[in-house]
Amino acid sequence: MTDLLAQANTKANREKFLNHLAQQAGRDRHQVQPFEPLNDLPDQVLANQAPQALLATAKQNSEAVAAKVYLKTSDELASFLDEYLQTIQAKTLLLPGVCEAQWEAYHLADWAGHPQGVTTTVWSPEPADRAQNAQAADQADLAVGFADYLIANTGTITVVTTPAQGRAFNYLPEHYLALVPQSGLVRSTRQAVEKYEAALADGFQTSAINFISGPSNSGDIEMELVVGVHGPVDCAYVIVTDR
Amino acid sequence: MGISTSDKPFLERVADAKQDHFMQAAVAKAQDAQFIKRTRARREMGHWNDWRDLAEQIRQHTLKYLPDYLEMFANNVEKRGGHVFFAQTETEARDFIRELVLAKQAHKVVKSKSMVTNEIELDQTLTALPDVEVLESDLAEFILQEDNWDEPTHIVFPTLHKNRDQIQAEFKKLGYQGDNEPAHMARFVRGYLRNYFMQADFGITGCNFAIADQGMINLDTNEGNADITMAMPKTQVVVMGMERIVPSMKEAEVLDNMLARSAVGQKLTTYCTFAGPKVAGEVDGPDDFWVVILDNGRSRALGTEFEPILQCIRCGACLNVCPIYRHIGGKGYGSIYPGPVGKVLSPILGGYDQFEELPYACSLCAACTETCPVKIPLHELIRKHRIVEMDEKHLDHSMTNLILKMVGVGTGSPALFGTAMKMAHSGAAPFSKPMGKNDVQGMYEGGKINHLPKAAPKLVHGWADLRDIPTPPKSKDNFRHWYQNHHPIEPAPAVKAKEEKADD
Repeated sequence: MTDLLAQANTKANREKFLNHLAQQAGRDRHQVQPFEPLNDLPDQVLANQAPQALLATAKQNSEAVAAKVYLKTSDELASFLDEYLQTIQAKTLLLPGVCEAQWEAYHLADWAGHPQGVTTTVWSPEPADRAQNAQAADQADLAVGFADYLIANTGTITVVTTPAQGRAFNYLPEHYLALVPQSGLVRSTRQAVEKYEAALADGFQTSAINFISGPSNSGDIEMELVVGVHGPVDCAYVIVTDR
Repeated sequence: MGISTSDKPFLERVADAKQDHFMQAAVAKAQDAQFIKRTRARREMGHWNDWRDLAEQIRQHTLKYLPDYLEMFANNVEKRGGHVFFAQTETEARDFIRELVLAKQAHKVVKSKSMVTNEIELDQTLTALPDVEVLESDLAEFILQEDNWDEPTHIVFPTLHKNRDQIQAEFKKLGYQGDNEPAHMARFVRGYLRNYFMQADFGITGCNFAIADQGMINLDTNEGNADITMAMPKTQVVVMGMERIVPSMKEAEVLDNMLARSAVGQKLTTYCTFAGPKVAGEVDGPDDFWVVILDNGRSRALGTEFEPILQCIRCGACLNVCPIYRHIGGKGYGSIYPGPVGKVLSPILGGYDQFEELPYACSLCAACTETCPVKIPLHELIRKHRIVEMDEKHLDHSMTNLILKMVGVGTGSPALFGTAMKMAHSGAAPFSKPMGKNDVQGMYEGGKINHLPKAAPKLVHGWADLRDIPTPPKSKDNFRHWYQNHHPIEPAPAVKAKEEKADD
């Protein structure tokens, strides 16, 4: 065995490689200029749509990627979720390990405390519970999670990894339901990215930002579209209209 | 082998491809279906050519300052607690990852789709280790693995050459008992791989775009396998070609949109993720995050006329419009990078000696250049390879000399030339077939040359076997004969009068 691993993050390894590139290219290093885009197309996406039209567009584009879309007020959520659990015949439920105040913001503190008729697991924010969380996510028929934004142009919701809602939470359960506030409705991926960039610049910490557009799928066998390959086989966006 | 997928000579590979009618039908179907989806998705986006200008600008800007952006990225990965290794060669990259697997005492390695890992033959390297299992998690790559590591034939649809029955047969070996419905087979794979995912201790992913200012990587998938590969194992290695980098998430976002529309006709892939090492307090994701940045010959294109090939975002649209790819499929090229992009990239990465024929497997129709979302002048680069081969490498020296000498002798003597024009039709007749029912009118009026005697020189076979060559016309039908007997049409009296007036 050589000492290759010890070379990672060393100046010698990096400089040799980068100097070689500069030499091959015939361009000096450390000349970088800020990128100035030659047009503002990303900012123009759906720029002319009024909020109500934008919501309709978001719904249409989400359904086009096979996501189910529901519009509910926070008062309607608890009974809606009970119904939804019954519709998909869920026996196991996974919830994020957020504080009660966050549930209460959606009028769900009571519901999240005792969902009816299902075995419920709450994602543990303790790093020591990694394996236990993974098992719960793998077994869960449904995960009900919090999303930040709904992107109208692409029918996409965005979710970040947090201690209370980890990566496996969003990817392993059979069904996935995201609660997204209507105030999080944005036009384009550009708008969502700008919001995350601002948050990160403000010191927000996350290891993963996920843009999710509908259920997992694949066309790898004879290009026939199959839904539900590795991730959730079914995906619902619940737009909370008064939040 | 590196990027090479076959030891057979080019012509043998082409001959094999000609026999594979399922492959040809599958490629034709895929190209036609993708044409409709891609065109619709691009039209829906609006101002497609302006988007292309922007994407080209992003890629060119990044390449111009490549060392600076790589340095920025490496610094930021390090700040996040990750490790970066710059690998000059495929051997370095491979050995590094093997050492890491050993150092981490990993037993169950899970991978998501990555062309670069094929390039460095990572699968073979890791499976050769004792007590190490490797499983590809992308459905297509998983199918290839189960078929004894068959090589991918398309950069976006690696199993384009396989039908559902062949796939069913492979899955039966793993205990699958269902029918050949893709949905049922995919369900089976979900369960099979999920068990493995739950035990995986080492994840390997590719990278669509590295985000220089965040030290994160951006991955696009439809299945979600890359995200699970980044969620479960405690160690993650990202393997990326050195050019797969952008300044910030904003530029990545533009390219993600264009990639999905160009590759599969979607607005965005189902999962588009920006990720790095686990942040303190989070429960899952990689504690240990390593990035291997690979050169492996890419730098040979830097600063040369071939630099634009590094703009490539691997959407595969050029394969989906290529008439040559349509006929010979991925295996015909003998490189993991087939199609137009492969014709440009393979000789740069693998050398002219190994891939000298590829730049000639092209009709220079420019459909690839036209469709490329980042505006790589593909057909021009293919032509430039030919120029390099002819001028510098002299790979075709003797053949070209012989042909030109014969042409010189023939055209230098009026008697020889006249005789040749007279005899061409009857001389070629024994080797020709009269026009068939499905032949294109006009082009093959006099029939086409298609049954040369076995004894004919190899050179002649080389031409005629791969091309539809029209039989030369009868001497009374040829252009010279026509021109000699041609009388220009008299202009209309009014025009004539006007012309005469103008002459005065």
